[in-house]
Amino acid sequence: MTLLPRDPVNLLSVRDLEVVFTRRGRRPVRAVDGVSFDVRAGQTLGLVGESGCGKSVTSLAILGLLPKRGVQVSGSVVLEGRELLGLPQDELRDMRGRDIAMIFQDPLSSLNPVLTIGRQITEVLERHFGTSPRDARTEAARLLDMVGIPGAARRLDDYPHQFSGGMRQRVMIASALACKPKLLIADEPTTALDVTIQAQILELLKALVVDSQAALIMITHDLGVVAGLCEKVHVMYAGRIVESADRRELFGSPRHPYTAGLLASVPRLDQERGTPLRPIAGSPRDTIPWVDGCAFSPRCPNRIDLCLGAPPALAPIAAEVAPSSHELRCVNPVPAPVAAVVTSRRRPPVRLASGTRATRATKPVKQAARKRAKP
Amino acid sequence: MSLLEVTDLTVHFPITEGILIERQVGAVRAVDGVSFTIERGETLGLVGESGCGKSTVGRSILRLVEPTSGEVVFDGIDVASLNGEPLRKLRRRMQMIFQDPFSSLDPRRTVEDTLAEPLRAHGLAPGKLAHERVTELLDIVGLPRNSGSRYPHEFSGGQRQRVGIARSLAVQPDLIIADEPVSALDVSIQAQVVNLLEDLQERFGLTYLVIAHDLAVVRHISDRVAVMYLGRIVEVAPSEDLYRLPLHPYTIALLSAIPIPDPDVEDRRERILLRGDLPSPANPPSGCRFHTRCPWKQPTRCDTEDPVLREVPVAIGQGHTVACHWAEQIQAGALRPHEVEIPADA
Repeated sequence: MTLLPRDPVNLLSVRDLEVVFTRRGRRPVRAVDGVSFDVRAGQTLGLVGESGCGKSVTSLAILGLLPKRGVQVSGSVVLEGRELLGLPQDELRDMRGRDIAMIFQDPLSSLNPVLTIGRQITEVLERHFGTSPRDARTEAARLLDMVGIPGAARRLDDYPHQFSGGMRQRVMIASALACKPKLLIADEPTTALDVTIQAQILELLKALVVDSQAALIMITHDLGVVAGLCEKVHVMYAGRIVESADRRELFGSPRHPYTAGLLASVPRLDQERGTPLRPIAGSPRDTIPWVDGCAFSPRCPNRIDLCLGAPPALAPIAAEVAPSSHELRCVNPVPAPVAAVVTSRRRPPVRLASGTRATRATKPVKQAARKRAKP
Repeated sequence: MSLLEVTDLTVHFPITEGILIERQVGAVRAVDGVSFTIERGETLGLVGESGCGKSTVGRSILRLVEPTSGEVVFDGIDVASLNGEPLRKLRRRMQMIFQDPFSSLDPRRTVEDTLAEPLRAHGLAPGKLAHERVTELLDIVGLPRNSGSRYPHEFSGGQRQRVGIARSLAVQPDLIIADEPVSALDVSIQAQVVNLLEDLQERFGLTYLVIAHDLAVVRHISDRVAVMYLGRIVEVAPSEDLYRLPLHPYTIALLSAIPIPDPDVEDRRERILLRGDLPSPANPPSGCRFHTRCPWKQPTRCDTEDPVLREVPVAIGQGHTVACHWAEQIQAGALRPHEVEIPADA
């Protein structure tokens, strides 16, 4: 084990992480292509992108969960001065669950169906801390109670199938928190859940991060989830971070055409109805290798000749208010919004419950001429 | 006359016991007394969480699931009374778009085979005309004209959903029931499909029933939205009004739970968190079905009296109905939300 000088600020530092999947007779796939980021203790970080952008593979690489065969991982992942890449299996096992815990998307397939949930939580405690079975059971009940499972002590002997989806995700969170890890990685923790349950789980995660001072890496495709939860957001595309900024900065003035495109293509509940959606052309499959230029350029509305050629580097934006933490990988970014636009985005508080009565706005009239044409 | 009138639709799935001699010991009340109408050229959105019965409503309109009772009248024809050939003929006019573009296309047939089958089945494009029509359909949904000879696996998710849309358009239907048309797609692709659906509606005068759990998408695409909870419609409103002034406690909670991609808005929102989970539709709560989780539940009426959908004077405009005894008082602020105790065995 190599002990590096401990970084006083960052809990986790990922540098130039690269994951290449190789298969005989096929071209190697570069799933993660030089990703670097830092996480401070107590910070919530968002990793956003569409399917196939490498966000989940990044988290698996951090935990050393990728298979050895056919996968090449390079770069560096340092947790509290300790290099995690290349750590022997037994040390990795000591680290997983105790220092870094993971919450997966699908709680049904990530919990063991033939073990009671009590067993699945006590196992973690007994393995890492050598807690006696009796104390572990008490602690498991406390954890389940903390994540909001009613009648926690009585439910320890139930099996995962006896819980609903939201409750299962709570069990997963309880077992992830069992050893009070310093870093929690949540990979799409609410994607399989209904919105009202999603709100419960997000609220729970928010409270837990504040209480335990653990850092949280939130991996998701949902920009709405990120907006309310994450301090810092990294947007990934085709294995690289294309834009990263504090959440207000990112949502207030997205500069990468991909980020701007994502924001323009989701309908917003608080938007005037009838605002047309502006989708991004093509599909996430339409990429070019980063060595040939910007991978997003085939879909990019701002494409210029310069996009094909030397791949753009992730560089800080020169801002009037220095120093800026807003970084961008683009040669022809979206112009920063004019001040007027920014102010119009700040709406009065959204009141959803009783209170102010809104007046009826003129509804956008749909085209009256609806002649039935033969398709 | 409305294009589709659904009155008191009920779909119960029997729960049986016994191996040789089956006997019914209960029923899952998936849909329990749902009524709504859709006008020609209109889009009605049906939203609710998983298990609320929204997909079953869509399927029972097409008689893909047999309704237990209730009436479905399509363009003056009672769908429930039809059988055999007349039902098959009627289905030409009602088509469906499915959620999963991967499993709803036959992997062993080319796109042209898939698109030509409904044409053949209904005798719409005999002989060589079929090929021309398929090309035209591909063009309409924005796929390359020559993609007919390709197989589903050669397409991306968004393109496959376009094939599904082309298939439903092939027979020139009046009504299209779209069950979660975009939820399996990537964010950047969802908008493409939503825009396509809107263009097609404008072009061919289609009527849509859009079933989805994502209120933001539903509100965007629909003229009116019906909110379902545990087999019942709890609120129907014009899309604009539903967001501006939700009246049912469930709608209020649902709207407040949907994240908005804007940190300023997110930080200031009043969030109403629902506790607990959806009760079992096999044994729904008495009275108002939402009373077990409702932050505005009152000691009287809620657990005993079944609320009906009614117009309330506090609504902004016409056509806004809600099934809550206390909608006026909640809206006026006379009732405040309170903590909800959830039983341990919930």
